[in-house]
Amino acid sequence: MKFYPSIAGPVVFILFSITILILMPGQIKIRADQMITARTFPTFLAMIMLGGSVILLLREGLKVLRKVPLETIELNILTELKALILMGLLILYAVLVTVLGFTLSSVLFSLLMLYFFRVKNWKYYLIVVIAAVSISLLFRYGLNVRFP
Amino acid sequence: MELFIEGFSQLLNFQNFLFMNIGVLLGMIFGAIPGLTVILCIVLFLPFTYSLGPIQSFMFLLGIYCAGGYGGSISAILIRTPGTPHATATMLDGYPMSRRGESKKALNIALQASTFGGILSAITLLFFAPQVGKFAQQMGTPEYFLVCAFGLTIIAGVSGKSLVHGLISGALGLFIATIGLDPMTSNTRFIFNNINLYSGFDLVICLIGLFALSEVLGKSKRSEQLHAPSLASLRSESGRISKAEYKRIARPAIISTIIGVIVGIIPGTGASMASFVSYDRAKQMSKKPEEFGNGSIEGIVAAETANNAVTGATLIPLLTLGIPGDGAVAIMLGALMINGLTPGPKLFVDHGVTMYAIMIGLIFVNGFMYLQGRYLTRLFAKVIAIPTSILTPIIVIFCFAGAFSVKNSMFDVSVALVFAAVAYILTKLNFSTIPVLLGLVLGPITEENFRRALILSDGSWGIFIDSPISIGLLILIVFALAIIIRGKINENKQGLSHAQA
Repeated sequence: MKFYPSIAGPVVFILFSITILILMPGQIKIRADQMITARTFPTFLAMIMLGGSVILLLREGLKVLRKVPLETIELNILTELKALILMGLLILYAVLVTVLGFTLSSVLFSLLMLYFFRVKNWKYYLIVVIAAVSISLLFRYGLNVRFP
Repeated sequence: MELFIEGFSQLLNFQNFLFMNIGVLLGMIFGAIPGLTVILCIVLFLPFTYSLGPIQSFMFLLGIYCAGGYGGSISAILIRTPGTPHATATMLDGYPMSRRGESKKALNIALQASTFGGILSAITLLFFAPQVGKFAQQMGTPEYFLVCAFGLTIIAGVSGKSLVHGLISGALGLFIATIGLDPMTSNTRFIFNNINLYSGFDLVICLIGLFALSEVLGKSKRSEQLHAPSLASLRSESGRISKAEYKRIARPAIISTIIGVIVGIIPGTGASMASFVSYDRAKQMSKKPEEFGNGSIEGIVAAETANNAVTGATLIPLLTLGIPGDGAVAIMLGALMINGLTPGPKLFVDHGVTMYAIMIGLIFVNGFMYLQGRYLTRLFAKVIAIPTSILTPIIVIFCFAGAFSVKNSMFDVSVALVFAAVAYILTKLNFSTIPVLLGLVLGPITEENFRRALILSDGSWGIFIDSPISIGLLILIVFALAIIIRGKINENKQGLSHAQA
């Protein structure tokens, strides 16, 4: 699948900066008599993002007019799908931590990850399980962190 | 001199040396394994520094930072895969030497060159940083804002696809840093009535998401499985460097150190640039330029000396002005802030002893890097072949534990996940995450000085051209911008001509 990062990027940042500017009055309350306020700097940054993105889009527009080919990236659907599955696994791990506790969910997660990577060597499974338990113990007793 | 002696005595503590050595060991391992980065190592172990004092935590992080530079050359020499980007120049001659059965000698040369460059760079830091610090004390809020703007502009210019891309990423980082309570008026900003956002995003959480968990998402791409290097040659070879060879490498080592130090002082340049510039210079000055690329000892020395000579020099703008030279150093800036030390003009006045302890410690870090490299080479050679499939779940567990440990909150873990997704999307959109990091780190001081300066001038932007230092800094920014833009135009022209060819 073809993807145009040089257009998608600025569009994302234009939308983001406009959203910031729209939300600003509701999210940052200020006193009317002050000139330099808590809004000054975020507004300045939103303007930089907006202005920069417009420049990038105009540059791409010029390329189109000059008939210079735009930069394209061939997105590998399978790779992106795998990234999505990995993200799903990370979210699942976060949910499991609150339900099963850190150590058990870490063990389960590491096993799931190895399965995801299609690892068949049982020694690898043993290594990651030992590592998961060791990390939990290290944080619990070494750094005194009380996991759920 | 008093500060020097007191700093030295504060450094002489068993725990400082212990953490220094742990850092060196971890740095070498992470540097040696292709796919793992020094930044990742620093981010993963940053939560551990929370319970340490400033000297211990900085010794630990500096150990990782310096040893990572040499670690990258181990895989570059043994398996032709640089563990770090700046070890690419080392690979050009290191691997051919390894193919000739001189792996141990190549590693030995790389180690000695790294140590030489690192120690001289640390000495430069020790002598120059206090002088730059004295100069920096003359700066007021408008000048300090311009210094931050200078650092951000350079990093944005060199890390992004284009200067504008970098500036947008930097602005995003600065914006994220504004979320939470405004330190000057105590107004809340973009917290959406979420109590967890009152204190804003913790830097460590953002880093874990941006640089560690996002790496995991990147593992969806199939990577080549690395093969373990043959250790037979490491066992049999003496690896000794002859007197004639020492004589031959002395000159490139000294010149490369100077290049590394100069490059290191300039923010945004980094070790890769230093190693390639030095490599090129050494080739031009060599009596045997034909050996370069075919296993020249001068080539390895030039690359390795330069990339480690950057390490101390890059701390000069960090400690004196608060400008980090690269991503790894930016994270260390965060570590300093966590310990209540705000880098900048006042650092040497308020925490002079600690600063001297850290600077002297850097010399020891390089010494221990040499010792560990000398006696643990075979261990590092074995470590290279650890499969990514084992490392990935371990990294994730570390990330989750680290993110949770900051405030004992699962909300922070979710924030790290969001940042991982943001980093992944930014990369797909051709936006670098390094300027975001710089923005996050420099955000609070940039905003504070920006607003204070404008309040002082009743909103007039003229305050930024009021003093000679401000004008000098503005000229520096314009000059840097001109160089960056020219460089990008040349890059584009080259790219276009390559495409047409």
